[in-house]
Amino acid sequence: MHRKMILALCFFTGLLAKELILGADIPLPDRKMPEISGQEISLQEALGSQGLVVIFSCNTCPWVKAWQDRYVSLAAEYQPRGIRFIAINSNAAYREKGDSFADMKTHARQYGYNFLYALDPQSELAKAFGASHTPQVFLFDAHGKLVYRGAIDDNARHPDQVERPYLKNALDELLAGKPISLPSTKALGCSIKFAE
Amino acid sequence: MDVALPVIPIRILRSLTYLALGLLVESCSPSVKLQPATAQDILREVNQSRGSQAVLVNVWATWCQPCVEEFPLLVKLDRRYDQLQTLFVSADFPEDKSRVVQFLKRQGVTGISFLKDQSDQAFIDGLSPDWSGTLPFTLVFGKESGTVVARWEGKRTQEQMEAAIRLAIQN
Repeated sequence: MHRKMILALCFFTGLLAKELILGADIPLPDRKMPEISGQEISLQEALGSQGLVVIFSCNTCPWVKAWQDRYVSLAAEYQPRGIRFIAINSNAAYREKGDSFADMKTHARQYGYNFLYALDPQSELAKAFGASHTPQVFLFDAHGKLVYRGAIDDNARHPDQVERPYLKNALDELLAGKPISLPSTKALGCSIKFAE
Repeated sequence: MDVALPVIPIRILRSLTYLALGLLVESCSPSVKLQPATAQDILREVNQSRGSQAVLVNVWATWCQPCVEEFPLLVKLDRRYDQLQTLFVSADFPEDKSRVVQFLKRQGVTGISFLKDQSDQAFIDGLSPDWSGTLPFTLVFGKESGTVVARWEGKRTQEQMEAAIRLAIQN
């Protein structure tokens, strides 16, 4: 009985996502993904001269809808400076519920996406990153090493009331060649709907 | 002199009756009190049950589909186990408070329920530092020990939940 309980305890306490560790290389760098422009792209190809922001995202999560205006403004500010942005839709179990490739194209047009938006058909990228929710951000430097992971900022619903622009600060520090002062943050989000 | 009364179509009359009945049921249903809470407030609540009940804390939101799907099961298990207290903590935006209350009422939840009143980072770290922030999130605390015996992100089956609850009651 005691043994059973210990086993159960190990099972239940192990049910949390394991995110990619800081300093890790881009996972599955050469895996090609369909991108809404009609081309296929890998993360290695998406990497800019100064780095890459990978955002696990979707069309259907209210948290994404609240934050995505900042995807656009940050991409507009930092892509010309060599850091490219790519959003990845890993909601494999929601392709019939608003997260199909066609829905992604419509969504990107509607919200003025100015960055790559790619499909992760079987949620393999999300699994390789240890991504669990949307939006969830991973920032890689020019060498493809993870330097920041977590949230965009500390206020999803009210951009004018943001006190800590986590990702923007990390981008500025990366471009200035400084270590990232807050390399890991957290925010609530919608669970990624993994392939069943 | 005859006065012609306005004729109300039966369809409209039926809708009005349903509306009146709905309002009556709503006003007679037991009330829900939605209390703002930080992670520390929730842990204090958990601590108060130590020695008398196991506690299941479920962080959910009306906008979270898996949360909404598993909610009836959590309510059912809370009713089934006398030695279990369930604390529902909504992570909805504060402006959506009335939607949260309506949802809780529809699910048959009564008494005190909680609404997150803290920044995401502080709330997540305060409740469970290794929680990624994914919803739903569930923590189960042992009845005697008051410590976490199970925790998980996302939905779980009834069998898995009951195993965790039984473990917490024995612990």
